[in-house]
Amino acid sequence: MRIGIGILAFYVAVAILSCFWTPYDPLQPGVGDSYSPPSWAFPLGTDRLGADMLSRMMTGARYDLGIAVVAVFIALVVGTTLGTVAGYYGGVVDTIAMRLVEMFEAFPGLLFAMLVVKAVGPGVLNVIVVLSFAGIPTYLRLARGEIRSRRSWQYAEAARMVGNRSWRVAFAHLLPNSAGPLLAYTSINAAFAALVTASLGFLGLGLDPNTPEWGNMIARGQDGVMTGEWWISFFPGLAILGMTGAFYLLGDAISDVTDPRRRR
Amino acid sequence: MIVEGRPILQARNLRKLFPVGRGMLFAVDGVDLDIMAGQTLALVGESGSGKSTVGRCLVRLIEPTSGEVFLDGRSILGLNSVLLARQYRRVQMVFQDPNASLNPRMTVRQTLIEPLRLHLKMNRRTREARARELVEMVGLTTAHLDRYPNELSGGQRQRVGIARAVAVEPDVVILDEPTSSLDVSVRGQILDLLMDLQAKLNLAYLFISHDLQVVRHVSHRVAVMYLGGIVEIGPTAKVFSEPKHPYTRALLSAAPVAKWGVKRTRLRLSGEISSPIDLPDTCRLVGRCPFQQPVCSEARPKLVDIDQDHAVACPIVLAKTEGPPPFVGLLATPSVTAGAHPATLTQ
Repeated sequence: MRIGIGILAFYVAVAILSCFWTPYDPLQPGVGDSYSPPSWAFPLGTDRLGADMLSRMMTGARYDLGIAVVAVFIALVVGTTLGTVAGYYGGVVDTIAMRLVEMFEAFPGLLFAMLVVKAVGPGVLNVIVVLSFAGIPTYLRLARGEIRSRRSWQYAEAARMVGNRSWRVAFAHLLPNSAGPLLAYTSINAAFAALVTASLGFLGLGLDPNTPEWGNMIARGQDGVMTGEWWISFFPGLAILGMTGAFYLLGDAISDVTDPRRRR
Repeated sequence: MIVEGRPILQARNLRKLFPVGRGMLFAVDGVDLDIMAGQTLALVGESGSGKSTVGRCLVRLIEPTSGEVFLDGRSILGLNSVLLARQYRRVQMVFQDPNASLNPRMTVRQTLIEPLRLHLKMNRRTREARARELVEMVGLTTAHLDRYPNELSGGQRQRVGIARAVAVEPDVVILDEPTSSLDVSVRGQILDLLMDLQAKLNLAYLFISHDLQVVRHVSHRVAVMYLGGIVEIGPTAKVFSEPKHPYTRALLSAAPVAKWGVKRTRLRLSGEISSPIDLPDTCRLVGRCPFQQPVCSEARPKLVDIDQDHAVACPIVLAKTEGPPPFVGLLATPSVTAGAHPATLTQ
């Protein structure tokens, strides 16, 4: 759990640092020779255009991490709110919400993201919106199930008896006790968001192809994998793997911290 | 029926039907009861008799299908959610399972402060003082205020549940099997605490239980429930010493006697409690009762007074009390013969 926080802290630090300083301009081609292998001058080598891979990697953290975090946050807030309402009040609201969720879930997330981004065009904001939408159904379903199963618990009844209005019973009493699975899912969701961002980049759909985003970089380096210039795809791939894993560890840590029964 | 005291919470013809796959589940079917200020009315019956549902319907945690509930003479069934929440200042509930009724994420302090904040609108300092007073009132110490429920024992948790219920100084507390999930060793302490608080705060209790020994110990009056209806209601001493309804008699004679060499004369009902789905309009005990007569299947017997504060829903018992048959006429015009000593049923 500390490892997860540590890795993510490192990613965040790199992302912030890249705003102020990178060894070279990440968008400047020809700072070194094409396909220079890792060396003291270029620790992670250069790509086909001779741009510094380390600088590009550092800038990439900003995009990949930022998109994943913002998209997950939006999906968590919106999905959980809707799911809590659907789960607590049930009835028509619940039926409509669940049918919509099922419609969404009929599409695989990546396919959905590809279709929409293709339709509305590339750009950071579009990718974020698409990824949040892709995440909402799962949060909605999770929150709804958790709240429904707890709605008739005695502490929900007790909460009503002490004078809480129904929305407070749902959001202040039931939701915090349902937070574990939801927060645990944020890690999986963030990992998924990071992967989809990278996949969109790899497919040339997500951000502008010149953006130093890890998926884009892997796509650019894929020819080199066969001919020996492994570093161009390898390091962004490693970065994505590290981030995905760190999110997973963090999710586990969150569910430990938020549950007083597991705290002591 | 004449009962001494001032009724604080009353139910009239209370019904709760749950739709199930094949029909209707008669959880509560025509219950009348009066809870008197400062007194304990016990509601006893086996599992599935609908006693907990009655408790929940009285405070609208479950909406009754029909009937009326009066709190201090005013109906609470028509109230909207805001006005209803305000009534919870006067009616509170202690739940069966203190593990499930306390929010695991709230400390004892937070749990106790919530009703003070929401119902009494106390300011911060008064709340803190009141929370301290409450924990001590229920036999805990101020050190417990910062504990989470998982750091307390079952008995301590139930004390917190009781403190939460009495925090707003209600008139009535519904006790839904408050001791049945506790160890036998702490049951007595919790019961003593409840009786203590009743005397101190002049609380009325509806004591829902299946434990006859406990009921005999704590209640002023007893109502016996079977399959959604009350079959007998009266003063505890009278119901226990002279049970009238065949079901009450069977229930009481089934309880073990803790005395060596005492032989119990048991009244046995045949079979099991029947399914509460789509019940016919007959006595609910038809098919199980050894005293069964054709009249029992003609209509569902209503509670009829056999004494001024003791009522039974059984045409056979009434016939014995009043004299010889016909039963039908008796059912149509129930009347009270004051002072008549009911003949004992023979087995």
